[in-house]
Amino acid sequence: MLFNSFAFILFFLVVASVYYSSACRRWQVEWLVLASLFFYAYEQPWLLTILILSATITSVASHAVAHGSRPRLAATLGVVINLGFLAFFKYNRLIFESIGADLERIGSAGQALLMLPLPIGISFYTFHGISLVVDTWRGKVPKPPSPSPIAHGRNTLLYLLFFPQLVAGPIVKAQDFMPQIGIKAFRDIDWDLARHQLVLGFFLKMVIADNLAQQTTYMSCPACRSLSSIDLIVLLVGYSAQIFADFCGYSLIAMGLATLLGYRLPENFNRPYIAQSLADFWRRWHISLSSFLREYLYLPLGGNRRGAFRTYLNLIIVMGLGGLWHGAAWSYAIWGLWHGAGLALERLAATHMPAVALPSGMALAVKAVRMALVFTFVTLGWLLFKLPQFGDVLSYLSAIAANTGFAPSGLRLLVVSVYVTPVIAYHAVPAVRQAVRSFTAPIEAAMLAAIILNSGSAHAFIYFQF
Amino acid sequence: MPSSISSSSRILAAAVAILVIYCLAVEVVRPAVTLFPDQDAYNRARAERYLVGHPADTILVGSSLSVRMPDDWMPENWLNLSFGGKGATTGLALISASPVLPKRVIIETNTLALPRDDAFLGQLQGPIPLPVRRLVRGLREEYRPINLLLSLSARFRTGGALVPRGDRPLPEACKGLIDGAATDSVQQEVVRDRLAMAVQAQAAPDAAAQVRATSEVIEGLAARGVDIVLLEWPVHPDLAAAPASVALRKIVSDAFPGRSGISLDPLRFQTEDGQHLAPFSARRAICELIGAPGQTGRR
Repeated sequence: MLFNSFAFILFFLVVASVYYSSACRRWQVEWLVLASLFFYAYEQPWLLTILILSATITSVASHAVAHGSRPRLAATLGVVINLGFLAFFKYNRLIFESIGADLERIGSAGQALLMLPLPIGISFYTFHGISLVVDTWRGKVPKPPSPSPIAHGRNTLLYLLFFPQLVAGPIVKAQDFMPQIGIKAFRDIDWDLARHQLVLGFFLKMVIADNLAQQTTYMSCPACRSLSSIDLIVLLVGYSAQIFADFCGYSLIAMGLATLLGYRLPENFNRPYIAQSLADFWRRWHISLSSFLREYLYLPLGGNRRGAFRTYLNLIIVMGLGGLWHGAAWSYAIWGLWHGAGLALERLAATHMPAVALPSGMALAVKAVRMALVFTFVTLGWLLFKLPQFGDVLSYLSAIAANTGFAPSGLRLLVVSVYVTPVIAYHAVPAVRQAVRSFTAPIEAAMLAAIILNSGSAHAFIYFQF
Repeated sequence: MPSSISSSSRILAAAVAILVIYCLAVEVVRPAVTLFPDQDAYNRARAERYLVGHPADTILVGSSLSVRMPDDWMPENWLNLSFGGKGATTGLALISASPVLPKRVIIETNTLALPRDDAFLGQLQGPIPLPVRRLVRGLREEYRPINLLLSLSARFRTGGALVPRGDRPLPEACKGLIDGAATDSVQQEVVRDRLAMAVQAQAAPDAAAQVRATSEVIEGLAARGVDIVLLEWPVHPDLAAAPASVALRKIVSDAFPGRSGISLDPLRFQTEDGQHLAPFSARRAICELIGAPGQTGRR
């Protein structure tokens, strides 16, 4: 069920009405769990079995960590089983193909397992499962006064299944979500925040991302070879704006829905394309994933505490695995390694280049150049997202170099510019905050009108595939 | 009422005011929409134009090959109900579901084996209900702000694919329209590659079944009094002689044994990529269609 569908709006209205009714007050958590199960099962009910199995294992493991006699073993098992789920359902085909295994020799049952579709949201709910087990082990999740496995199971289900963030995040750490579980009152809803999140989220998704998606279909190769260099660059910039608007839009909608239900989800984006370094970019882009990888992977690997070489290696390992987390294809791993290598080189350069005080005009120019460099680096990396075949990426880049003599399409340039402009404005807003503040209401009204008048064809969110 | 709810209400009221002003402006100005940002937007606007009740005597259904025929070069009582990326079957589905039928349907046969796009047809009813769009022009797909902006920008552009017909009658306007050839060597190579790929394409395994199913729809329209005209667009001779094209031509002639069709002389028309007519050739093709025997379109 897509957030930008009428079916979902109807679903949410029913869920929220019952949720805040006096009859449901005692059963709000159970009602949200039920609604989330329905939401997940709406299109492919059988995938629910995998989700419930994963949730049950996580619940049992985290309960055993909190109240059992062998918490270390329970924590280890909880993490390993969650990772096993992810590996089996997401990477089985990639592993099978990569080792060159013979399809004929695995039998029909093995072939059937290979053909299993990727359960939607598995990358997110397994990470939530790991977070719950680890945070409980670390003592970051407050222990309930009564060690009731049923109450714990119910809360675990809500944490893993909470429908606003079930399919594509933001990834919420258990330490941040579990303490929020409780009875919510209608009068406590922060309407201003919810409205702002929902209007901006739907605007970014339906007006910007969905319209840019129509343009960026022309990026596919070999058809890309017939486009001019300028068109290819414009489309690449357009895709950079599209993937931001799509994912940031999704995150904002998820946060807005959660706000309406009385929960707070973490910020996932903070104007990532104004980052002046790659490290800065990853503090601004998909913040919940970066934070998760840092806390549960980078720091346990030693972080930057074991010398320079080990720090660079850790960065590359974490980013490579983070890339592979996005999709079961080597192009995603290469994308992660691209960023990992970039981060390592950046760190290396920073340690060998002394900081120089510059006059203010010069400092501004240096900032602009750094932003442009980071944006170019990140945008080139998105090619691996858009064109999962590595050969297509090379075709695209060689077409940029070769097709300089082709006439560019003025129409395409105009359309992409129209839709990229609001993304630029979003990034610039805090810089002109005082000027914009008094126009917030008209701007939100205009965004609402644009959602009605100028939405593109509904597309699934890009991150749903992960 | 909490202040945040009242501020949300004010924003909602302001959004409604913007919508009302926009719709009134569109109703008063009735801007001519000549450009769309992408194929999908064009397809949706085109289908909607038919669904809200365009009064057409003659309708052309087909794929991107037929989309090349610009509206302002067609007689006023003609409608181009062709969709890029889809075959004639999708347009035929819309016509056959309508209670009011045109006098004549011209059916592109080059892509008749493409299946009906049900997902696209399903999208046409929403998100704004069709009866509302029928009443309020400003809420139609055709009048999306981006389409108006692009159409406005087109007024300041010259040359290229935009060839205004002006007030000249059609056959006369077509005189002297000759397309230039691509001069860039890389571009020529790209066109050659695309043509080679099209020539090597295999016929769809279910082409015969697909065309048979479509023939039932077409014969249904004929039984309801619609004059059916089959049309094969001229393509590059290599593509016309390709095994898949020859096989499809045979399937079509078998499926419509009693029907003759129109085919235009490929030597007199130029394509951009072996398949799609170049801008001037497309306009001349319209002139020839109007001049074909049995055509009654206003000239």
